[in-house]
Amino acid sequence: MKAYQLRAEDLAKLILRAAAEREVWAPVRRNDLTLFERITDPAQIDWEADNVRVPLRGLFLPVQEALFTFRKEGAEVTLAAPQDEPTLAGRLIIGARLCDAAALEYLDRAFGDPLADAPYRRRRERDLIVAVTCEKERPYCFCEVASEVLSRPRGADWLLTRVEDRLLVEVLSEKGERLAQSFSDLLSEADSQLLEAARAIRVAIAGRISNNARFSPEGLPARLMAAWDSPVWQSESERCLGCGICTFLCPSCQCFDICDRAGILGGERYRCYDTCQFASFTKMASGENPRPTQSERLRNRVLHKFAYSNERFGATACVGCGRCVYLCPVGIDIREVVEMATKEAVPVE
Amino acid sequence: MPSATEQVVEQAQALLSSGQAEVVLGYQRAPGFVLARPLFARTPEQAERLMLDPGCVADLSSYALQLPQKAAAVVKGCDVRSFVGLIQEKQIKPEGLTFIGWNCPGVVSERKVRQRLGDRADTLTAVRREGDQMIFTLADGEQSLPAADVLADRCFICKVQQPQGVQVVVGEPITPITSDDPLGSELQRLHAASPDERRAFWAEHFERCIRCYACREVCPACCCRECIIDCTRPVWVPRAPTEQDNFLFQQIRMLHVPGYGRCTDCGECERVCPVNIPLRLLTRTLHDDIVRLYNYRHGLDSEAPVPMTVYDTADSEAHMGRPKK
Repeated sequence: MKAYQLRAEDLAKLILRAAAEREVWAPVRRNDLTLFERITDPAQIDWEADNVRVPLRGLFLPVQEALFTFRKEGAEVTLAAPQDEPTLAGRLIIGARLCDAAALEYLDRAFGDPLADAPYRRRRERDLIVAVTCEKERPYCFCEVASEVLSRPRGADWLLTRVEDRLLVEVLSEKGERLAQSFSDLLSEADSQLLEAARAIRVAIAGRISNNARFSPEGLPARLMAAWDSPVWQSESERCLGCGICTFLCPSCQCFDICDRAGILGGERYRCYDTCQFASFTKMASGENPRPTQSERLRNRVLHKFAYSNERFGATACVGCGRCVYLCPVGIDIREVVEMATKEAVPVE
Repeated sequence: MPSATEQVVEQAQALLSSGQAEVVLGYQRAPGFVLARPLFARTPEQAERLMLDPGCVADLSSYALQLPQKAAAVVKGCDVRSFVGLIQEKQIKPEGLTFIGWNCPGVVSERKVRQRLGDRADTLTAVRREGDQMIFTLADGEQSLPAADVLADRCFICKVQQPQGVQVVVGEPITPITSDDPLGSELQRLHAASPDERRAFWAEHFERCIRCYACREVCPACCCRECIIDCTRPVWVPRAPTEQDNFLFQQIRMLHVPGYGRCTDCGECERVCPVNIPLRLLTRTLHDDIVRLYNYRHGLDSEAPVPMTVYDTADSEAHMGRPKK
C-alpha cells in the first residue's frame, strides 16, 4: 500500500475539511477519562492522553443497539428496521491506537462471513479509521507479543506516525487510498527517510515492551490447553469479583445477549454486551451451569483469548492493550495468569 | 518496633500454624499496580507475601460470604464496619472469624496518585506515611507528597482509624489527617441545584455506564443471592445500558443499600467504577439522610437493628409530607 507525508500543521486543516463532510470522532478527555466523542474542532482532541477507556470496538459494536422494532395492531404484527444512525456518510474516527484497530481486524473474522453481522459490517464498511502510532508505552502494554500489533499494523484505513514536524500517512486499505485521494492537495509522496524513521519508532516501542508480556507466544494455544486442570485458575480467580470490567472494556470481546423491551402494543428487540465472567452467562433454563464457579470463567476468558480464537479464526484474540490488567479492581493480571498456568503445563501430543 | 507488615505476617502465620484460621485474607503488592491487591493466604509461606501500607484500599469484606468457617481477615477500622454490618444482618457468623486490625494511616486514592505522579506511578513498589507526608517508592527513587493531596476522600472524615472490636491489632496509631469533607462543596452544590439540573448532571454520568456491575459486585452490602437486576422473569430493569435504565439500576441499588441504612460509606463502588461515575455523591447523600433521620450508622454495633427493619411510631415522617386535616 502507498504512503504519503503530511505536514503536522496541516493535520487540523485535514480534520476540519473531513468534518464538513462527515462526523469526526476522536479521543476527548473529561471527568479524568478519555473517550471517543464526536468533535467539531481539532483542538478538542487529546493527543497526549493514554488510550481511550472504552475501546474502539464500542463504536462498531455499541454496548447496546436495537435490532428491530415490533408493533401490534389488532391481529397484525409489523416488524421494522431500527432507525439508522444519522451517520450515513460514515464517520472518520481519528486517534485510535493500533491495538484497538488490530482487535477490529479480529472481530471482522467473528462478524464476517459466513454469518455476516449486518450492523457491524455496515459500520465497518462505511466508517474510516485513522490510527496513530503510540508515542510512549505503558508497563501494561504487551501488544507486540500478544498479536504482533506493531510489526503488522492492521484494522485501520490510515496509520499516522509523527516524525518531528511531519506525519507519515501509511495507507492500510482501499478505502484509505480513496481518502488519501480526497486530500491529495495536502499529501505528498513519502520519502524513504520518513518511512524508515516511522518504522524505527515502532521497532523501538516493540523492543521496550518486549518484556512486558511475561509469557512467550510460542505454541501458546497448545500449552494453555494442556493447562486445563491447572490449580492456577482457582487460585487466581479466588479474588475475582465477577464483574464485567475486563470483558466489557476489552477491544476484542464479542459476546452479546439478545432481549426484548416490550410494552402492550409493541417494543424492540435489542442486543447488549454479555460476558463469560457473569455467572448467568452459561446458566441454563434448567438451573444447570456448566461453568459453576469463577475458576471456570477465568479459564474461559484466558482460553478464548489465546487458544479458542486461534482454532476458530486463526488469530489470537488478545491484542495486548492492557485494559483488563490496569482496570481490574482486584489486580488480576492476564499475563501473570498465562505465565503461571503454562509454567508447568506440558502440551499433550 | 516491628513494622505493620512484619506484624501482620507474624500474626497470620501464627493463626495458620495453630489451625485457628484456614485462610487469612489480606493484601499483597504486585508490580505495576498502585494499590495492593487482595491475597488469600492458606499456608505460612503464602502469608509471607502479606503486607500493609496506604495502598491497602480494598474493603476485604467484599469476600466475607465466601470465607470458610475458620478464617481471619486483615481489616482497617472502616472495613470492620462493613464486616459488622454483615453480622448485624446475619449474613455471616462472627464465630470462627478473627480480625487482624490495622491502625490505619489513611489510604491513598489511585486517581490522585496518578494525577500527581503521572507515568511514574506505574513503577510504584511501596508507599508509607511519615507525619503529614506520603512517601512513594518509585523506580527513580523516593517521592514525597503531602498526604492531604493523595488521601482517599473518605479518610478525611474517618472516625474509626483505630479498629474497634478486633482480636489483634497491628501498626502504631498515627494522627489522622483531617479536613472538611472533600465531597462537601460538591454535595452542597448538587443539593442546591434544581431537580432538572440534577437530572442533567446524572444523565451525563449515567450515559457512560456500561453495566459491568463492578459497583454491585464490590459492595459489601450487596449480598442478595439473586439481584433484582439479574431477574429475567420478569425483567424489572432491561439489561441494555441506556442512560435511563442505568440510572434506574443505580437508584435501586442506592435504595437497597444506603437508603436502607446499610451503607458504611466505604466508597468502594466509586473506586472501582471504570468510567468514573461519582457514585459516592449518591451513597453519601443517603447515608447522611439515615444519620439525620434515625441517628444511625451501620456497622458500629453487631446487635443493633437496621432502621428499615424496625417499626417505630416515633420515626420521623418529615419526608412523607404533613397529613391533611
